[in-house]
Amino acid sequence: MKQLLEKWGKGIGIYLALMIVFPFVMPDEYYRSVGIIIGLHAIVTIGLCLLMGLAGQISLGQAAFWGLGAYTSAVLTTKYGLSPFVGLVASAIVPGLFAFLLGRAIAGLQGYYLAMATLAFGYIVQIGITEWEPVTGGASGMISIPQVPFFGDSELSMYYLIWAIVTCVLVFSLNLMHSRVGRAFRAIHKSEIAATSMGVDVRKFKLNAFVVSGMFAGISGGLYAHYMGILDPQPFGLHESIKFLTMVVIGGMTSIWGALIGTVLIGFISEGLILLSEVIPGLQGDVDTIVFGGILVLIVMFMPEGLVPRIRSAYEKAQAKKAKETAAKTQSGERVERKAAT
Amino acid sequence: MKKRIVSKWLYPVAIASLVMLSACGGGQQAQPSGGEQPAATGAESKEPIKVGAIFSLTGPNSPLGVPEKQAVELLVKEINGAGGVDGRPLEVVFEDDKSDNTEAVKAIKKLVSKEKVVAMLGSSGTGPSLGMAEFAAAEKLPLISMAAADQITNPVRAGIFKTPHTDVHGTKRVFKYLKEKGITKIAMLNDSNPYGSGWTTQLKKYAPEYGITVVAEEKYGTKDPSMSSQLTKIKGTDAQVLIVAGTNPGPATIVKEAKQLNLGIPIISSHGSANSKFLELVGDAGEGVLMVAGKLLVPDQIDANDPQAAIIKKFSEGYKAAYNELPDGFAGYGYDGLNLLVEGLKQAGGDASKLGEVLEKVKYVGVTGEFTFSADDHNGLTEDSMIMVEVKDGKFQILK
Repeated sequence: MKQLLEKWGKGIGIYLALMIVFPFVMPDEYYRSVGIIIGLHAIVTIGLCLLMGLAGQISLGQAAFWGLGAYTSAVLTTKYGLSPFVGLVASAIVPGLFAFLLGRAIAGLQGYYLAMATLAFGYIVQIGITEWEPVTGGASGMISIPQVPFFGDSELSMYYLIWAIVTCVLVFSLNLMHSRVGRAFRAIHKSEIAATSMGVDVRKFKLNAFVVSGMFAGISGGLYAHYMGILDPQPFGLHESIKFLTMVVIGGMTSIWGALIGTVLIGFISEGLILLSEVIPGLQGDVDTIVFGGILVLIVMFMPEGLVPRIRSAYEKAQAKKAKETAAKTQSGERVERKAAT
Repeated sequence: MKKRIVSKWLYPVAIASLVMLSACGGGQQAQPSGGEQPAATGAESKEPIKVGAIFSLTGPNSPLGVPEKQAVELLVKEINGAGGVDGRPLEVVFEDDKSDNTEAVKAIKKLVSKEKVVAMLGSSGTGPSLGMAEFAAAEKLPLISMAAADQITNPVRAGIFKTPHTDVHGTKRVFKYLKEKGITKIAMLNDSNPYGSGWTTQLKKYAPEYGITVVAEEKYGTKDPSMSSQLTKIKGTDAQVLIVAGTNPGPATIVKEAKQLNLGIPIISSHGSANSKFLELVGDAGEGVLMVAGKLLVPDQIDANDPQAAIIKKFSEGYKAAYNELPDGFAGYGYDGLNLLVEGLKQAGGDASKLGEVLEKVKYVGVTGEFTFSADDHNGLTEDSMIMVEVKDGKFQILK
């Protein structure tokens, strides 16, 4: 724990404080449910960040893993009467398996081809869920999925359950980043050839990244299914995948914190837009898609590294400048003193 | 040097201020739109009865949600003009679910926790309605949905009702007609969305009961631009009629392509496509197409002795005067939904906690049909309130 604090001291402290306090600052059930949805998205985007930012692999099919997780847990609990906790464990394993198979098949692909392959995978899963009617309920979906019994089933307890999982995922990912695996990922991101020549098993690491991100998305999907109580295949398409992508890119691909902050930011902006639409009647419907698109364009044009790395580097620069100035001041001060002495 | 610093900070600051701006809006309460002004009948002194309404005002279901909202707004004005419910004004708070399940669930939670609504209307689509029903049932909040699927009220849950005809009613009405005509072999081409796949299930389920065999079962994607390959397959079978279930523009495309392919058998389209938009889309190719729909589709052709005649006339004239267009079935679902709620509130003496129980005994003649709710029927309609119409000279003509 002490080590943890030393490593990312302030960051994790601020995060924990904000996370715990939020539902009491906003003592409104509605904002708790907003917090829950943001948390669910954050689990997916942190996984996606590991895949995209660290290992440098694009995925346009992340919502498919999300959907696989959701349906796995929903089917096991509603049709076979298993406990939601068993369902949640399965909702990590099944998408992980799919990610493994997909990763094995397409690990050799790069750039556009990888994007196309993951895009196709996303479509296949969504169509598969729609067509496999005896199990998934087809286009009309499933109803009466049980809640997760975590200290009752109030909005508040669900909030803490989900953010506890976000915290686990976050700590796991931050740890991973500072380990040999994380360094190997970053090496792959910079140049696969260079990484291979340094003895990194590129294929294996890429596969690992796929599996981990698929599992995170699956867990989040399982929680989403239990939280909503109903499922249909509509939310698990390309639109959602791109939304996840936007969150990661805005926050900054190369930073785990970036993914988290990007997700929170997008969540707040869409809530803000809903509130604004009550004041400005013209601002209704899909305005958020336009706003997110606009933000994405601005970010890619002016801050391709994303929000968090940019702010961090600006902060570091400012610190360095300050240090320099104080150093210069003390130096000149010394000189004056010396002059006075002589 | 200075300039560079400015540009470096401009974007984070711009985005931060955007967030601040949106956070500042936080103090604003949701604005109830329409009819919140209490009437000048002394009702203003009483506390209003708050009802929430979630419709799909944007997104793919918006052709359903917009007329529903318009009908509800119109009715709220009328009710408050006549003194409200039990002397208390009625206030309806609207939310848009963007045709999205998650948004619908968020919206109903917002209406319950922030606005403290006592009952709910909505939503337009099946998925959002099911999500809302799940929450409403757990909270014991009465809800009347405007979505078609049978599974909203089957199995029956306390307090969950719906107004539209289901796919079961449509199926039975079509089969009754086919039996009269002595047709026994059908082909179907249905949308793969929840609405169309619901029809597929019911058509297959009830076919044996009416001595009908399904010789071809095809489907299409909601956004498919052409269905000619499915139609070619159907042409190769000995089907005597083609049944199409989907929402526009799919059925219109099918009708046009069937004409080009010279399909040669009559087409029956479902109530999901029965509106003026369909006529607009098919043009001349629509001649002779049959449809199963609610009576509201042909307000001027309803028999004067029909128990629904009066309310259909009143609603369609009022709607036309307010919005300069005839109401479609969806507007009717919204209108009936709020009327049912108000009827229930009146019978419960304004006590919303009893609303769920009271609604189970409500009998009400609406524009969609004659509703007879009971403990095991929360839709309350029968297939007899649906009619068969034919497209003749670019207009709907009722078949006697």
